[in-house]
Amino acid sequence: MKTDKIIYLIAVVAVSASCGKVARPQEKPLEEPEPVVTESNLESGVPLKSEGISALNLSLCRESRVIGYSYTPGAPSYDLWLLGRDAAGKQWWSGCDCGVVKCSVSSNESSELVYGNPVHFDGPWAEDETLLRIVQYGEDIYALHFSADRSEIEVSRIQEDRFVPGGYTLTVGSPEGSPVAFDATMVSADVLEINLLCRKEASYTPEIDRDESLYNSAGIYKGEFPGSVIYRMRVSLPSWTPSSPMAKVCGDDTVLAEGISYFKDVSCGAEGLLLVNKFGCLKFLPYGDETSGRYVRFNDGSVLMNTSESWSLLSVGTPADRSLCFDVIIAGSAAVNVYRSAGIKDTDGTPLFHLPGFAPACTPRLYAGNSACPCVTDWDGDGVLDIVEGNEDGFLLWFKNYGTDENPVFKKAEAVTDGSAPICIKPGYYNVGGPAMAAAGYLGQTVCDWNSDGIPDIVFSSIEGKGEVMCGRRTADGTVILGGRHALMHLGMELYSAPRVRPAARNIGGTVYIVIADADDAAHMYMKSGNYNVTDRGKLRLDDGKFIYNHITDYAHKSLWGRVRYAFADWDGDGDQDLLVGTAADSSIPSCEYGTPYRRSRASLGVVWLENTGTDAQPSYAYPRQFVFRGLDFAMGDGIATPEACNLGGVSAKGCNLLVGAPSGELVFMRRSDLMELTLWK
Amino acid sequence: MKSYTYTFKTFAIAAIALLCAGCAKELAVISGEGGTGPLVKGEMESPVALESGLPIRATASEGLAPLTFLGTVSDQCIGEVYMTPGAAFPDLFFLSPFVTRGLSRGDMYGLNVCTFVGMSADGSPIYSTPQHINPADTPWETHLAFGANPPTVKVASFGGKIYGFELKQANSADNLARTMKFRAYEYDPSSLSFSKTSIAVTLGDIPHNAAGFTLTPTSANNLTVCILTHDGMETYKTDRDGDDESLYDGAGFYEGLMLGARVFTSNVILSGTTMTCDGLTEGSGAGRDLLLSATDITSVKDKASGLDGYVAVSKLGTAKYMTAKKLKTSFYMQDSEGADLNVPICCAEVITVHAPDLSGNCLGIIASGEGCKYWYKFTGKLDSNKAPIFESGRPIMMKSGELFCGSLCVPDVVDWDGDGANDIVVGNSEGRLLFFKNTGSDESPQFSGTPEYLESDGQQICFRSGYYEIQSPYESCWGYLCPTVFDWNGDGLLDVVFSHNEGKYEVMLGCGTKTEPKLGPRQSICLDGMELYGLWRVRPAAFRSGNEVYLATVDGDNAIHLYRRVSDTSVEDLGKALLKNGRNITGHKANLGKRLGGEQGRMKLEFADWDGDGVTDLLLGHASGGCVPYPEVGFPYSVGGTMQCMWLRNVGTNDKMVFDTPVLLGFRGINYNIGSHSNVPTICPLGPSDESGRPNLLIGTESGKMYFFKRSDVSELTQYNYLFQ
Repeated sequence: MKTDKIIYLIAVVAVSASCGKVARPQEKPLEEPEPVVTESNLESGVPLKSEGISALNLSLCRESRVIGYSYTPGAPSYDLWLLGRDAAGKQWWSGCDCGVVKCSVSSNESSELVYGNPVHFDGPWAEDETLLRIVQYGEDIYALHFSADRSEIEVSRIQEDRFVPGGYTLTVGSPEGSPVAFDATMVSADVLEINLLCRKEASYTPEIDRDESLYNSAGIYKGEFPGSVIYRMRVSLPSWTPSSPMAKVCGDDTVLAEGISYFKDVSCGAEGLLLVNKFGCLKFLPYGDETSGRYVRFNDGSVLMNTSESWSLLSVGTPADRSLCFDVIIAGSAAVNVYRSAGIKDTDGTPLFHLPGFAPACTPRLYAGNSACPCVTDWDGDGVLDIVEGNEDGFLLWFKNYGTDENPVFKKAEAVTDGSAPICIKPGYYNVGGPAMAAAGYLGQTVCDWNSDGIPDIVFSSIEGKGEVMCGRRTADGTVILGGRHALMHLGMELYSAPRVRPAARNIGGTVYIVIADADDAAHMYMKSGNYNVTDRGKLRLDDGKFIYNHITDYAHKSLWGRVRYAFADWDGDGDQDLLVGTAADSSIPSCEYGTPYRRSRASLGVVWLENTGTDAQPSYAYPRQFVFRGLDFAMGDGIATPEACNLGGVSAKGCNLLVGAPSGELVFMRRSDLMELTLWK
Repeated sequence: MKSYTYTFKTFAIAAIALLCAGCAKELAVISGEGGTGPLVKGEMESPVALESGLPIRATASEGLAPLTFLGTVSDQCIGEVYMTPGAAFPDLFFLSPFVTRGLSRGDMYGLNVCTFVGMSADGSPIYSTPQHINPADTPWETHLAFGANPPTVKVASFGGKIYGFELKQANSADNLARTMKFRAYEYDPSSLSFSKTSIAVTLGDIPHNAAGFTLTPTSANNLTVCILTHDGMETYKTDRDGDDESLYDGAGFYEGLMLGARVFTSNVILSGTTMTCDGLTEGSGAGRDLLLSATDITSVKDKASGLDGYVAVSKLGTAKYMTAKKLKTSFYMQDSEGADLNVPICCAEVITVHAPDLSGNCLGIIASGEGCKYWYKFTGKLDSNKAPIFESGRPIMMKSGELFCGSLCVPDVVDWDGDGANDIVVGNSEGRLLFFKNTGSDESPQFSGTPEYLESDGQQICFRSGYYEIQSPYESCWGYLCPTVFDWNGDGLLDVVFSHNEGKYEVMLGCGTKTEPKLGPRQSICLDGMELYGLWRVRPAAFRSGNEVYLATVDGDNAIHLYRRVSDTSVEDLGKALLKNGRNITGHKANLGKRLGGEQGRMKLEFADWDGDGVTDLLLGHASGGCVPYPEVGFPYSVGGTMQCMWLRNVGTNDKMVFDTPVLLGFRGINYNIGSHSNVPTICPLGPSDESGRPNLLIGTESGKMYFFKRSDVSELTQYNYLFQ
């Protein structure tokens, strides 16, 4: 599909981009959309819907923090208060859930508890504030938030759809270290206990040059792992007068503690503090012996570990006595997980918990996990296209299509396994982002038939940067399970890609071609030779001979290279494979100096099309064309957008449609007729 | 045996005299360089597995074991010649240039020749005990420091004679050219000696260093010499001298260069006492399409199949094929089972074994290096790229051999298969885990020289870090698996707690039965949800005290660190291990050299009640450059030339360990040099019991051999304790 060429003044666009505004075309090129060949239940420009209950997640937010709960009279359970973060730009669909939101609980037709759509509440706190807590006292709901200088806690009170200053402040003073999180719990009818988690003054982030590794020559991280200091105060309500000033309770060496919560078990009476760290590890500090943090376990004895990056923690108390807790909620980069107390203690007095469930939502959005990387393929061989999707947590999910290609029906995902355990790619201690990102795998996969046996395989990379393959085999019921990981090898050395890349891979006439981002962060092609060996086909080039880069010249750190999602697709239907490329808002394709989206508009869809003007074996690409939706930019946030050409929703005369994995975990369907490709100024 | 006893006794007296003279720091070296020393084994009709001070021998099948050469670490097969009339397989020449100097039992550095004896039932060639060629009877310097460049030599028969062909390069003053000289030294099999004079010719100049070469006779007097060279790139960053910077950048890319390869050929005429050539012609295309870090090349021809080309190999174990007529293009190879053909050893060298009928037809190839020597039989078939298809590799064996575990072995003595007799489970530098079953008893063990390779989750264990390796991706063919076999979770099944070159600590849980053990998938051990990390190539120690399980590792400060097991994959931090004076126990010397990261770690730990006082102590093995417990003074660095194993007595309790300064261990009162890379001590319940019931000692070494020591022969060299006063 050819469109009118539109020329932008880069300077104007750059200024607009830096102001966070959407750059608009000088002309309005929108054509009348062509009629769809077949009718479809898919709505263009909105996330795919999920039938039934799905996991509670906040739209366009890559980070969800749980900040409180409250009881509404007549409601079957507690409402949840969350803080969504990291959304940017103009949203095409309504309901960006950044900021403070309340999710109200109700019972659905099947008498299942579900949370409704988040409702925003503004308040007198900074837009990027994270130190927030919601407390209910009687019928009043308060927001506690730190002052800018962190010396006070300000109290606001809910008034209709917003919080207004309540006229109360609590003196925090000058604790050792920097406040990271705090908890506010009614420990008795009129006493509020505030526990404050501060991080000691030691730098996790080392001072290094932007090209430098975060690890030394022995593979040891150069930064430090600062411990924490815990402070506590008690406040009498309703006067909001401190009954005991903020005072140090203890120090704690839990690595990278991020969340804190008071906890007293309903049944077994264990009382103390819970800490969660970035890796999802939960520790219990019993009152009276807070110096000895103990691992919290499941009731089967295994150590409790949340499955994704964890940033916040909340204990939920009973309506009558908020100090008696029965649920612990952990939220972070992924869905909100709920851990119900088992009502019994371990031998060391630590409370035990059941395996988690996600906070259920009736939101129709299909949730795939942050940095969603979708592949549309018939995974189970039933003749209908499914979605197989990798995500930031490193899991591989299968959304079975219970409908048809034209009218797909998706429900909650199943994990793809190796026959016994879910596929989970996590980098661990050594990764380019530092040990704090140990729980973030950024699985980027392409489904292709690597070994030509007719069964789908996975060619993938992750934050570990290696090109790898897992070969599939079918179980008796047709489900695909994956074999062990095999690194792709080039001349005996593991094929290494820039981090967080989805390699393009396709079996074209029995030859498998792969595209990764190489050591120059440029698109580079290899060809399968043997079982796991590959042959170098060289860097990909534009028609003018230039390479196709991805990063900006003024990158902050080299670990931000990569973050690019390649996909082969015959977008223009001319019989050869083009490239669809998705990337982050602060990336720049094809040139570090003048590419998109960074130099054009960060609030745009980070997906471009590179038309192959050569052949599959000897490709050459036209200058990238960036997609806009119905003539306008379509922002999805700052993270990585992942494109997948697909025949879901019916194919039009213009060609296949587009599915985009959003950084915040939605899968956004875009009908071909709604898409236009902008040719950018060279 | 008689001469052995006499020689040793003489030395022992001398050594004690030296010590009594107050020269406590002098090395009590038993034997000098290159000799066979007083503790050399001979061929035995009924080999005994254990002899104190010597490696464990194979006892089954006349002691059949992989071919090795005493204490060498890396052996290059450099030639095959039919010297035995009627033999179906040639005799082999090996060059072993890298050997720790001053090994107490002697070594066989330099050149060795092995006589073919026969084929095993499964098709492995068998050789007799190697014959050492006296270094004085060769024209080459063959006893080199680790990492130095050995001579580039191939031994082959030509024109009715046997020659050692050497490719010698001389760098130009501006280092832009290497003048290649080709020399032929005649070999006399009756005296096992090479001539000191040669027939020589200057082939010409090439721009880069040579990696290897091969010869193809084309007529009675003509040879085609094919030289595999590098392409001029330096692999390491050039600004790393003494700094602490990673070799990888912020995106995880290696900051050195990718070392490619090129190929040159020359036609040489060797006639009588003269040699001429037609210069050098380049045959290859772009360097990095062929190999990364090329090591050797060999020509392969077979009339029946039409095979005519070259197989080239690299440090990483890659094997590629080029046809003789089109050297610009190279192809990956596969074996007869369809698997990608990769040589499983590091720093591979390769030669072709030719048919005995002097047709020049290829029977197969031999790949050698750091590890077993592998024979790849040619199937007679070619693939679609006209590359030869070989059968999968089989180790070349010898009679009366010693158990060989692969280099830098890390042994554990445990009853692996629950039959009541202790076996040996051992990790090696390749990253594999081997099981030597004891088919005898603890008192009188019997071992086959062919181990079983253990699996994890159904896949053969070969744990390697891959691209990210602290000493560069060119070392990604190593894994340095350091296991401790121990019932970690107390379920009665043996588990394997381990570390390796990635510096992480992991566990494979036993999931079979006591008599049919199986290992599950590897799982990281974590502290607060983060992988427990430390320095590389450390064998963690673990022991159980009542209901508690303790773990010792080496942390990021290169200090011994203690943890308590909380679950299968979680531990609690107990802090650094302390001496009774309150200081940490570190393993590095104060003035670390160039490879800061690589020189740290490497400690091999084991918890054991060494002195039988009911309190668990720490046994520790290290490399020659290690310095325990302080950077300013410690073992073995401050003493040198030792067994590199020490005992740290626990003067606290099992639950609150406090250690005394280390005591160096020796053999029969003296220092006993068995290698310079990390030596790995482990308690050994095999062999005759000590009167006091204390267990014997087994030490894994760089050569892949495991030295057995009767407890009564293990000395605590307290004469060095003054260093810590």
